[in-house]
Amino acid sequence: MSDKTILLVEDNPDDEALTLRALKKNNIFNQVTIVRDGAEALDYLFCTGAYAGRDASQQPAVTLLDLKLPKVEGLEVLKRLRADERTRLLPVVILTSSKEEQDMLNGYRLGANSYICKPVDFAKFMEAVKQLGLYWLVLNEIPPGN
Amino acid sequence: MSKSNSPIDSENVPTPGRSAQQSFWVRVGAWMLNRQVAWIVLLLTLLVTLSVWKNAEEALLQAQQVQFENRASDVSDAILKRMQAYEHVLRGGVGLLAASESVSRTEWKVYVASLRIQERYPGIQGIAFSAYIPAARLDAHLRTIRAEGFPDYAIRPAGVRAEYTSIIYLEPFDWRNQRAFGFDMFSEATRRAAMERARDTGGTAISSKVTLVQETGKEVQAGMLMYLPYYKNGTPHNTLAERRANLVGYVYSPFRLNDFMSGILEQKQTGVELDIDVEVYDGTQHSADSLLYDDDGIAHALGKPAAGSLTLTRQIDLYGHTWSLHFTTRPAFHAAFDKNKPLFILVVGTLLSVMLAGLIWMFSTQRRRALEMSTSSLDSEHRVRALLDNMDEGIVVISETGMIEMSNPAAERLFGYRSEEVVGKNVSMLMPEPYHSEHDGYLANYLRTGQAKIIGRGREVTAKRSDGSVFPMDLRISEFSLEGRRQFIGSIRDITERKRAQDEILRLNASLEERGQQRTAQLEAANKELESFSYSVSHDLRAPLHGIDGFSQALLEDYAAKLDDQGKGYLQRVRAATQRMAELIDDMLNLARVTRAPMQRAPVDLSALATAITDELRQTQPERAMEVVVQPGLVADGDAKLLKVLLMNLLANAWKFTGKQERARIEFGMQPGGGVPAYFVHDNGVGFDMQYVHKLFGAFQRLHAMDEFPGTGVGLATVQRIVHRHGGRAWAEAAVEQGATFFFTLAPESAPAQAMPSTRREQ
Repeated sequence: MSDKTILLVEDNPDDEALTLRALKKNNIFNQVTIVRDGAEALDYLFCTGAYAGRDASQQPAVTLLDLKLPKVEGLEVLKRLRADERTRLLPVVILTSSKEEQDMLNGYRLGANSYICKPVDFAKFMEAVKQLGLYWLVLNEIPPGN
Repeated sequence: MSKSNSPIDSENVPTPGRSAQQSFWVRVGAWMLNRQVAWIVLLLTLLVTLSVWKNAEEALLQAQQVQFENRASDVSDAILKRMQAYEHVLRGGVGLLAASESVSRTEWKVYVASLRIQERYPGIQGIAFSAYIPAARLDAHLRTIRAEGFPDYAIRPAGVRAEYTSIIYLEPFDWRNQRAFGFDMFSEATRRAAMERARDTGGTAISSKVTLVQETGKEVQAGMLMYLPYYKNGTPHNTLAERRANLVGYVYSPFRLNDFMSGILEQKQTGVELDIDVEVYDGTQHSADSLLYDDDGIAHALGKPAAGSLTLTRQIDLYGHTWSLHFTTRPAFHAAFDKNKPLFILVVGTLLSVMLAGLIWMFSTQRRRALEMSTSSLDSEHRVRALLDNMDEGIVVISETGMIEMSNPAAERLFGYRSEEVVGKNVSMLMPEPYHSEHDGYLANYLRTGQAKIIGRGREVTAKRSDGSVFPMDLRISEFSLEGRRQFIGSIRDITERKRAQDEILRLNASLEERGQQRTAQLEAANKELESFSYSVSHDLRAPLHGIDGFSQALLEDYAAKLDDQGKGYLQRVRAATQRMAELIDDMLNLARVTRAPMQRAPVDLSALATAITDELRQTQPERAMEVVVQPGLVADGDAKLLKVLLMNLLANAWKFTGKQERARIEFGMQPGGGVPAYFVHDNGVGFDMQYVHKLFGAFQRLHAMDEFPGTGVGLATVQRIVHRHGGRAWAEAAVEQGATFFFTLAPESAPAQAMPSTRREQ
């Protein structure tokens, strides 16, 4: 479990802090990489730009992707990931405050593995993060080859 | 064309009298044109014929009746006269007796012979004397008569009686009359009655019907006797007693009725067959017993009268005795009258009537046809002229060389030429270039090849007025042939106004389209904006709430030791407000969504939906005792998603506002009644005051305190939005603590809303 990493794509530092807090409170101590916008997320995953030297074989067990992001939108990020052979099967969970039907539909259509709406109630958010970590980091098997 | 007012009409002013006369005959003439007159004439003449025929018939009958009565009177008179004659003869006999003390048999014989009764009085059987013999003188009498040379003389019938009579003289004393010699007529009641009447009155009497003793059994005839009394000479016979005391005997005559009557009738109708039948009855009663005489052996009075014959009964009085005479006409009687005359009148009259009516019929038909023809041809010419004069369309007729033959007033107005200015000129004068120059060639080409450009259809062309200005016109040309000449009728309509209107419409349409496009673009932009706005709200408004709530929680967890209870309480309030804010945002987004989302109408099972929603609600609070009633089978046409939101809101409201009820009840159903179906959600919850009903469906409007019943006040606004999107209405009825009912329809009400309380109308 410990070698599985999480990529958190989140531009809001409050949300970032709260997500990290929720992970910690739920005893999820896996490494969390944080990127602040869609472009950075793509650089990280494709090992380009600032992450050019990163080991491409070390992909996150799960990417928590916000939708409203600077530079490149979350859905655009998803789309590019799914379009590339290297990242096509990467587990991506959309974690957003949007409850827009359209967003959900587009997310799934573009190949999101899950869609989680951040509850405003922190207690519920805690519960959601706990379930999320358990599932993606413990139960779920990463596609072979990654 | 000149008006056809004939100058003769205006000069011919008739004098009033003549005019009245004329108009009378004109009226009669017009009336005669009516074919009904023929029928009326037929009817009238037939009636006249019938009446004349009837009169003739009656006259004929009357003449016959008169003649018949005359005949009957003749016969009665003849009988009376003959009777009187006989009476005279008998009186003569009485006179003979009175003149001498005693009359011998020989003297009587001489007297009777002198009368020559066979010739002069046919029907009289004889003239006799019957002696009256009281019983005391019987023997003397017998002796006297026997002494006269009749030794066997006896009074018949034999027998002892108080008084006798005996026929002693009877002339002519032939074999037949000898049968009566010595006969006592008193012994027979009928004869005796007549004899006593004669004796008692002192006058003539005749008997009722008898059979004479002279009859032999062959050819028996009815008989009758006439008696005159003879009293003793020199004795008074003024009183009944004297007459009875002094009676000597009777002078009498027996009659055989057939002989008597044929004597009378033959004398009357010598040699000619009698044309009436006569029957004589004794007394007033007609019966076979009382029949005295019958002409032909048929008793007409006793049977039915023969068809067509007349009958008549007369009673005559003969010396205190009545005879009834019954007359019946014979065919010969009627044959003497001309019975064909009435028939002739009938037949000829009918024929004449029919002929007259037929003549009138033919006359009226011909006249009418002639009149119709003349008026219709005149009328049609007038009509055509009036039509042309009053048409809005201009009419120009040209010949095959293009020369104008006529134009109507509308054409004059259109082109600004008077009719006489254009007639005879080439029609191309009414056309601007290039049509002006091309027209002759075009017309010639058409006449040669039959290729038409305008003829037979219509076209919009340009025309030129007399002042040189041009105007657009709609031209239709049709061709016709009159007396072998081809002509063309042009029908012209000025379409300047129409063109202007068309242009205006086109312009308006264009600007409208432009504006519409602008409007659509604006709307699209607004929609886009709204979309991005709600998207932003969804993301960005909610994100800070995470922070607020999350860090409040973090504070509570990480710094619990440093916060007193009040501090912790404040943080809890911050968190609660955050939750409320989140709910508000969610509801607002929902509201925006139901406004924006595309609608897909399909049948939706509302009952199933309501059941599913109430089941869900039950699971949220399984501890609540709730009675849910859902009317089954309610299917409505609408958008499934929106209707689910709608029912969710209404049922959740009902659930919420029945929270304090011990026995909560929620009902979903359809209101009975026609028209557009109205569905309702009813609860027995706290209800509300109807005075605030107008606030009910407004967004963020609440009628209850937050801590009493939480909520954002968006639910009913959402409900109304959904109902409106379906074209329906939403309204509510409630009272405080009396529960509430929310109604909605899902289709426009075609009829104007029925009388509903104003409180029901949403604003």
